[in-house]
Amino acid sequence: MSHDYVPVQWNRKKVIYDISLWGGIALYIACFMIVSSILLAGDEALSPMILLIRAFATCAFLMLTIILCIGPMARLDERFLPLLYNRRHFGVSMFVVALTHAILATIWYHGFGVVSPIESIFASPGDLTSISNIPFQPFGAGALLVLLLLASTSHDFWNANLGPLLWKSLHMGVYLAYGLLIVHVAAGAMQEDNTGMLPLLVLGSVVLVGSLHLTAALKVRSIDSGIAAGEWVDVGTWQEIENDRAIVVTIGAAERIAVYRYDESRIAAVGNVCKHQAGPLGEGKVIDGCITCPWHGFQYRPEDGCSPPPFTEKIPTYRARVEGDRILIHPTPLPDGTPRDVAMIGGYS
Amino acid sequence: MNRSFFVGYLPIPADIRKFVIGIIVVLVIVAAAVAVTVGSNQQAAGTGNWNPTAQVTMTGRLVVDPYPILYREDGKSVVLVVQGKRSADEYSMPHAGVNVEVTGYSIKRGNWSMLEIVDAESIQPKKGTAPVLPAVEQLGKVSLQGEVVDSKCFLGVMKPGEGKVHRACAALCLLGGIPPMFVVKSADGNRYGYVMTRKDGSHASRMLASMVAWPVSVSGMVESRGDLLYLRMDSEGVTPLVGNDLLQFGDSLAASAVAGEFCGVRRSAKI
Ligand code: HEM
Ligand code: FES
Repeated sequence: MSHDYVPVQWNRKKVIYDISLWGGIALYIACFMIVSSILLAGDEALSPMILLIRAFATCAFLMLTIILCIGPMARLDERFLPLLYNRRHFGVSMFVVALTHAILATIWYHGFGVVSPIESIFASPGDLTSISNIPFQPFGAGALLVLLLLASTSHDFWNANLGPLLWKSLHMGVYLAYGLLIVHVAAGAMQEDNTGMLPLLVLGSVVLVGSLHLTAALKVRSIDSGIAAGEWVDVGTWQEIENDRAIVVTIGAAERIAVYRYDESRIAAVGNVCKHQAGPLGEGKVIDGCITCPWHGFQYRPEDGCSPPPFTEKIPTYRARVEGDRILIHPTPLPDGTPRDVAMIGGYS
Repeated sequence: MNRSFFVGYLPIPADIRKFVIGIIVVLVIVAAAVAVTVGSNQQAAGTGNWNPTAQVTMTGRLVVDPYPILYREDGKSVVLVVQGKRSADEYSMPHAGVNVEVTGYSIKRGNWSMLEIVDAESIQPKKGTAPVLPAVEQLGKVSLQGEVVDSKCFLGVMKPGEGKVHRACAALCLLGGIPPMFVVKSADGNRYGYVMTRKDGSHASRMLASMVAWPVSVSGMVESRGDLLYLRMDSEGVTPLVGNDLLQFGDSLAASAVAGEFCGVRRSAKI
């Protein structure tokens, strides 16, 4: 699925997606600013700049929470896939919102002084002896750098040039950024918050993101332990697999395998990792005779793991056998794009 | 069964379209709800006020001891600072002791007044007799718990202008020579502020830059000059609170008898 790289391949869905996204962001900032400046007005009014800093900060944090939930939600319920399709736009927009917060905070709190703003961010008084002494700004700056790296390598151009696995590992950095941000808030604004609002926001986010990831991880069938190399492994019955769909299994410590049933009676096993952005192929569907990735629709033939021409992507294939109702898989992968016999379900009618 | 399946480049199946529209509506409602909840739980930060749009002009005797203060005819003391995080020491020095007219943006909180000037031109010598300086009165020794703040932000430029979130900014202000202020909460529930100096009465801003915005204790002599209270620190700096003192900080600041006395009677230092 190679193509020429342009900044964004616009289509109507992406336009609607982005309009909803930026509409939501504008609504968030507006609600925050209006409510906070009505409730504390006149002599009691807080600095509008500080309110803006907080509005952008909490908006970015909420967006990051949603981004981290989309992945597991789409694995648990594939109707969420359309949100995932353009997650890149969500991510880059979140970075822009976070950057706005960081720039405003840097100007306001670290600007206009006798020390340069950047130096001041890293020279904030404090030490690491207790949570109340830890300076919180460097953690925000660290998170910002990670998000900058992710936003600037989010394009398919980088994905193709770095390779899906390196790209994917790099983009796992989003969890590092999330962790840094939790420290940024816990060591900073949370300590000045007597209302309990920020602890609630952060805790709610962590519980939501954590539990969704756990639940989604439990969906993979793992067949563990004591498998000697070269052995065939029973992964279940063919009736458990819906036609044109797959189950995902891990055998021992090996890579995940997607076991597909298609044409009603054929069983083909392939690597679960898409060559595009390492999407979970086993959660896709066979469409027009090709395994179609749930994330962005890259396609592979079940017979040999190759993308149909003119595309050139290839994934590893696995040997499969059907004995009675049971499906057996040989856990050693064949090289990317290797044809092998597709197993037929005997006596299927 | 053939569940519909979304592929980005194919037309979206009708049931999935409906679902996604539903999700988008839910997300937009969640965004608005979080914004309203967090926005409506902002904490008050006092009644400080900064008017950066209209300049005002005042006359009086300018004294730099160690911070630049304008003593007005009506008995009011006005602390001078410069725009940004910088002191007005340099611009004030040439006019020390004489009658001047100062133009700048007003900063006010409680009975405290401050003027934010722009540059050397903001201070002009003024003909006429300068007001008589108020007598310096020694009020005695105190030991107080509270927080060092930079007077400019605390009095209204930044709201909130105290606490940990503001620590880095306050440090920058003090490095720039903004007068440091010690803020306590008295047993009567009110908050009072003291201008801080070293034991010999000299400038303490830069020295306190690394100790700003922590719960600390300090001991020293309180003296009154006009309507301001000064705190001359005994030692070089303040001591961080630990243990129980730290846990109880915020409830019983400056509850000691001596401190209460000063705090209570000097209405003018109230913020
Ligand atoms: C150079 C980088 C950064 C700096 C200097 C910085 C600075 C600050 C400051 C000064 C505050 C306290 C604001 C206040 O309560 O008045 C704050 C709070 C916060 N920041 Fe950052 N930040 C940075 C990066 C980030 C990034 C990348 C995020 C990503 C989402 C973020 C999220 C937050 C959140 C959620 C809060 C709590 C909001 C609140 O006070 O209610 N920050 N940050
Ligand atoms: S990850 Fe993008 S299509 Fe598979």
